[in-house]
Amino acid sequence: MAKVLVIDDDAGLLQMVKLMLEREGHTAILAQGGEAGLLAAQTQEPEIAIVDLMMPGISGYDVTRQLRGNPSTARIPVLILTARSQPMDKQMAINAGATAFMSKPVSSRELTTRIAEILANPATGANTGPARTDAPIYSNQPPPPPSSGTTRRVPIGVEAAPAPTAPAAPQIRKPARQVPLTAVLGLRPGVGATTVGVNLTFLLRRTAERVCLVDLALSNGQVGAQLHLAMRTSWADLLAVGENLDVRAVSAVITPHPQAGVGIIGAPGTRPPRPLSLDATVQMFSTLGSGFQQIVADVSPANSSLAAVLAIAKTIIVVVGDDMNAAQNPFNLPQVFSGYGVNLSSVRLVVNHSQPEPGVPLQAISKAYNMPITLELPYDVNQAQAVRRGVPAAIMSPESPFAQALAALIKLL
Amino acid sequence: MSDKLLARKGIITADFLTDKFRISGDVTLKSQPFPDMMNDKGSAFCRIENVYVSPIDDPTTFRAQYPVGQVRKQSVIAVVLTREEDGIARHSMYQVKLDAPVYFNLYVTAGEYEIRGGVKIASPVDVDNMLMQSLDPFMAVFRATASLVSDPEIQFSGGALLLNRNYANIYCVERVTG
Repeated sequence: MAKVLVIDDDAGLLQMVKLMLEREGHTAILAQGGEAGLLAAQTQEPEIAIVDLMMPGISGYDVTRQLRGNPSTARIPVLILTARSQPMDKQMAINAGATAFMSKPVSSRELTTRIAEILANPATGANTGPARTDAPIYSNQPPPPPSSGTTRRVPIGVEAAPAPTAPAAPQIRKPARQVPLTAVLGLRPGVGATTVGVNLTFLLRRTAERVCLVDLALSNGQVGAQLHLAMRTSWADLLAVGENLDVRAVSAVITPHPQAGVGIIGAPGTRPPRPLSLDATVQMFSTLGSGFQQIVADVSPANSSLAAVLAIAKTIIVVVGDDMNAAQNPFNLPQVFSGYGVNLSSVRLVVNHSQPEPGVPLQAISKAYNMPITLELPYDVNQAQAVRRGVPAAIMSPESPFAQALAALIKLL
Repeated sequence: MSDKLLARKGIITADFLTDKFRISGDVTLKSQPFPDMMNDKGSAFCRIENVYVSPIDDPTTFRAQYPVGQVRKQSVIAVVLTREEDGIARHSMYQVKLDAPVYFNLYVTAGEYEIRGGVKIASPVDVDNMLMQSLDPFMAVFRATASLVSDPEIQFSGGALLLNRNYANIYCVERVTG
């Protein structure tokens, strides 16, 4: 039986969890608050920690990050148990280094079963989220069955929780031939990853005849909006095709940009029942690679296809902002990418200044992400006008510092 | 082993969504279900404990944390609840038990949000009238998802969602058959 550290600010809840654990033969170590929890983690050597997210002072996210950052506690599996149970909370917890996630209210059976699973195999403790409406209710379908609390269902956007030490890379069948794919990944909404992806694509078009841009947002992607294109098809249409995504199937979802001659695969208007499978994603890019000289994918961390894109991309451009969030909510990028089996030499960290005012120092951003910064994209006054006109800013004002910086990035790649 | 629920009796955690903020906190239910509390015209505010405030466009960052707060009901566009049963008002509890419920898919735009979910009613009344003529500002949408119009990747899902009708622009309903 295990030594379980429970970190929560609610004394009543701590006692309830203690009773549950002791009934199962575990030893419960109770810590009321994040600071007490971190101290207990170092001194009591627990085998697993159950951490609440909403705690005064140090939040559960920070507790998890600090546990991961300390060599003496880095190996302790962390089970997040919280009432803040939205998909983005789950994603944030996983990014902070949590092993698993459960939503309150949870039954004692669910909690103890989950603990047993994690203890039995801490490296592969899959993230489980609340079995709730991850997808909207569609026409002609009855409302889904009542929630059954937590299940072993893998939520959208999380293939597997990163393990405390060396997570196993997802099993992805790589194509025989290298795909000329550049993945543009924004770690947070609003950092300008789509803007970078769109501008990069159109600059690449200057030197390559056949260029394609794929918007892998789960719904309402911004690529079509930025280019004023009505996207009648999307990658979600490929769900009906299955795994055999040949040239005919993939060509059917490409919308040509009328002026630039760039092929675009848009995102669906509403969230589809599921994302493309990893194999189908690889197949789609592999097929695109047979016809296009350059492919850019604007990929969202919420889309579980991300794992496949990262595995096959030639270059990965990680776009971050320069606001306080960039420095205060760090992602250990080398750790995250090694979990996906990505060679770090293919990753470029790009800081996009989306405000005219100077932001957080680059040094702080580099330290927060534990990676050197490849390039800064200066604030571009033309961006708003570019979006209004549906023309990428780098094409509209090719002499602007923003366009020049992007051109320099292309040379680097 | 008993399968006891790890939850404090009479306390629910809710996400209050306003135009700019996500406010999470605990609500102590006194003598009435949560929807009745929100529709109680005797009080313009709802007391919440363990308050955590996040900007709506960055909903996982805690901007402020206080032990207690009072949220102005009128400013709330929607309240997201984990469990479906927490969204059932007292009068509905009896109705749903008496008759086989009729399901409708519902789509609403309200403030910064697009809301999709389902409503269930006890008998084949005119659902349009139910949506538009009720005097209660907050109505329950079940198995609901509210997505932010400016960033549809930001979504809030719950077993129940209480929608403030004062913010609704359009209701679209469709009866679920089969």
